[in-house]
Amino acid sequence: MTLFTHARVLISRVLDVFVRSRRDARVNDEIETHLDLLTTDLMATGLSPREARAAARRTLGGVDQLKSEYRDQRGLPLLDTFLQDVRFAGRLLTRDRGFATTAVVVLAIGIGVNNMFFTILNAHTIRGLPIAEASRIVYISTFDDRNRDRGVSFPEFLDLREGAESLAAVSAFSTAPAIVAGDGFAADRLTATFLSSNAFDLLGIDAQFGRGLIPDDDATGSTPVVLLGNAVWQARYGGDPRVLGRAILVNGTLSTIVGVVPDRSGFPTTADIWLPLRLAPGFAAGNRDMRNLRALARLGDGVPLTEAAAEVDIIIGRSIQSNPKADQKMRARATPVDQQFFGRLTDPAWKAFIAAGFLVVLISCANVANLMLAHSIGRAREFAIRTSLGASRRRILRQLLIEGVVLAGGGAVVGFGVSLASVRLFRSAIPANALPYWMDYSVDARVIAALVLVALCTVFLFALLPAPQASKADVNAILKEGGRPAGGRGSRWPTVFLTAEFALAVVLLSQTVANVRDASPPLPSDRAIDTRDVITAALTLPAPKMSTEERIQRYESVYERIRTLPGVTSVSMANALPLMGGAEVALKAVGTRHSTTDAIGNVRTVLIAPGYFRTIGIDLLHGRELTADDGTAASPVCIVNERFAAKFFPGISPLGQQIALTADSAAVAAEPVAIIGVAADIRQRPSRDPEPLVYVPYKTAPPVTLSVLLRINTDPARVVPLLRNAILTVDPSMPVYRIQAMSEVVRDADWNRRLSYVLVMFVTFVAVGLSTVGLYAVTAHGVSRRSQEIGVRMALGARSSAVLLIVVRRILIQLSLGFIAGILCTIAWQRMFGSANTGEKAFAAVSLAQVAATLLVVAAVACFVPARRALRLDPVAAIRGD
Amino acid sequence: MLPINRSAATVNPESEVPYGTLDLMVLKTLAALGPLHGYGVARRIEQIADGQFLLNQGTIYPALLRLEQKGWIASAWGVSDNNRRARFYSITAKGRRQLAAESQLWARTVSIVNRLLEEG
Repeated sequence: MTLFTHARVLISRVLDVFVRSRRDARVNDEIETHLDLLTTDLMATGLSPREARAAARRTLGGVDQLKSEYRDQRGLPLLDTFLQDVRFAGRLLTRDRGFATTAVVVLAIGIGVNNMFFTILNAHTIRGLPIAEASRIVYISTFDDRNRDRGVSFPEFLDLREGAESLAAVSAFSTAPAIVAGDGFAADRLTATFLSSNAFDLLGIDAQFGRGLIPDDDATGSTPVVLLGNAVWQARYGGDPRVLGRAILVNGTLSTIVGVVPDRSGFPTTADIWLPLRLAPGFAAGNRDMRNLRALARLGDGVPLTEAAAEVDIIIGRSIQSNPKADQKMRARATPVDQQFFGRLTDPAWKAFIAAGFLVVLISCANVANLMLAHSIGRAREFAIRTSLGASRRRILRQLLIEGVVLAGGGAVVGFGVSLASVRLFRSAIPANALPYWMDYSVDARVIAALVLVALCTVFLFALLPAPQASKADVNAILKEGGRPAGGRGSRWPTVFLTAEFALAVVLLSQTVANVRDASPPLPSDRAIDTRDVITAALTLPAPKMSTEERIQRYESVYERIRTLPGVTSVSMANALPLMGGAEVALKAVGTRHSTTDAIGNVRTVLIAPGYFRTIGIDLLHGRELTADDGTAASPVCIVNERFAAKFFPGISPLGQQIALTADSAAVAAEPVAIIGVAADIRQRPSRDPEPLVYVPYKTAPPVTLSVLLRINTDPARVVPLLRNAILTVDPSMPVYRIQAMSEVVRDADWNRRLSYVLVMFVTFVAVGLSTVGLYAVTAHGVSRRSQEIGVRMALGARSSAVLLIVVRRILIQLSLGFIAGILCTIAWQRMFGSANTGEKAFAAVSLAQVAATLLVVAAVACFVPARRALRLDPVAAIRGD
Repeated sequence: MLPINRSAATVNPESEVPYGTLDLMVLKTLAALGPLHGYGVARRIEQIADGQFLLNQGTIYPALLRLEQKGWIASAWGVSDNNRRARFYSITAKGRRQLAAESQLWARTVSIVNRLLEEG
């Protein structure tokens, strides 16, 4: 037979599956006709109608056998029986609705949480950039011996473009804030990416409207152009198509809008607008040491990555060597773009993440396996009868397996809902613009495949593992015993599952305890900030080339204006809000210690205006706030925090002491300054603990961008327009942005820590919850199974304590076994994943005690209800009850 | 257990339809006589066999279905000579090609087997 004929047969069979009743009717009709015709012919030979009919039946052969043979020929017999089994399983599970619902819900939680984890993992590590042939695109940059990305210079980019034969196309980019103004709308500060004209081609990003960059745009002297992101186009111009050709000032350069880029293309991360590379701030066409660019390249056809990487290293290496002043330890690297932009699965944090996802599934499987076992013990009579009627053990196993498939299918469907909902929740907890444009949490084929795969694996764990036990039945004994399996034989399996479940719960709990101690928000030090009723806004000076005096004068005008706004009780300014970081500078001198060569240490600095501590609500422990005169040449002062005082002036008062900061940092002045105050510790960056801080008057080095802080005693909605107005009155071209409540600033800055914390808590909660349910189910089942025995004992005068012991003894043994196994697993986990993500050992006496306490509570809760039922048993009813 | 006289079951000199030949016979019958219902096909084969082998008439239906699934015959409802609704089968062009090919194969096989038997 040809392949075509085979296909034809298969299609015909498959189609038949769907018209089962029609095909059955057809064969019935044909057989009837056949019998009639045969009977008529036989009657013609002289037989009586009855004899003829009987003879006809004989000649045709067994009608039922024929029908079944015919059926085998039609349709797909395997699928048919399978569907039949599925229908049967469906009926059975509808009958035991309580069991089925519990199993599906428990599976749904396990599968759903696992799928949620996978979706997050997929978005962060697997999915890759939305670029066609991303594996052929490499990221090129230089890295120093500490693996810090040092970028490439424009001449080096040109070297690569002209000289690298292994690269088919090379493009460069850099990102910087940009102020847009001069188009009749309020000035705004956006994130701009400056790139060579071929970058979008390389990345496969097209303008949705207008054009992209063209090589002419790269040429010095051509009209500067700008591309807008869709969001900016909508927000600033209301999606007006006449925006093309319009002029707009970008960082003071008059540029023409030539195109709009679609959403979700914020290359390289969250850019709003795109301009030609030559317009980048600090763009130095001839300076080999100005490495402020990054490069992307497409590998030439058939060129292996290693070859391209080697060539890049040679070309840029030559450039580094040509300058004796350059850091000679720097090496250029070409890495696949996905590897550069995405997390790696081998990262210990992700490995732990994956393991946690699987632990939850395992726990839910252990739970359902127990349920299945308890359920099949209840069904022992059914199995016994089926076996005695000739059902093979294999047939019963298949039935159990198919029930498992049906349950897992239900669990997967509901679990997918759980996953979708929790991913959405997770996504909504991440502040807007915190994630790069290519971070995509939507469902893709991988997520679905993982869902199906995990669901199938659960079938093996919860249905197949206990199945041999469940289907092994001593028919005689069971039927004699009135449907209950004889003796305690076979009750070892629940012990195993329960112990496994507890072991897994211990592992998760230990991780959580370590994590909670590591990351429990709110951190005590954050309470030092009184974020209520404080609003902030950022403003940027429109012309960066102002003199220091002009800057101070501009900021002072803003300060004076907002100070007198109605509803405002206190104002200040700072270049970095709490948790937002700040420049790190080296200390040159502290008190009497001086250093000429080596720095004494690094400290983070924040530039502030008078009234900062009062406005933001940080306690000033010693000394005084800044005044308007501080920071001028007449009054060189600073304020430090407690950590700083404790580290550099242990045991003595820092007030009046002198410190000096490095001169080569532009952020602060180099002259020695006197400490006039000590403030309470806060976290200036989203770290675990506060670090030493120096607050410097902003007037010593007024920055381009400052945040204003306002403590208000009225509705923020009434103050914000006034604030905006006040700043615009000072300078209409000065953009005001990032207007936020201080509480939002703190929350958004800490989102990663907070979210990780919530995730860990969530998983542990699920694990412990599932374990409680499992424990409860097993104990309750044990009590109901042994109610007769308990009744007899009570009738014979057993004390309640003895009865209680019967009920809880096994649980206690299981709990202890699970605890020991769990500790061993935790140690193994520690070995495998280390504690890179926690910074603390999960395996510590304190955490073990906490874990043990938690499990004890769980066990007490889970045992209490069934145990009470055992104690309240009416002996007479229990003995009789069957 | 009941004793069964096994020899009694095998005394019938008639043998079953040789395995794999039923399809060929059905195709040939339909090619020679035109559209027929299942009973007609069975009768025709029995007539030709003339009692030399026993056709279990029921087996004709799975065979017809098999051939139809392969696209070698087609079927449609019709009315039999004595006004009964019956399914009529007819050979398709593809079926005729298959018949020609299989007839040849059959003839070759038979001649080879014959030669073998004669030499032995």
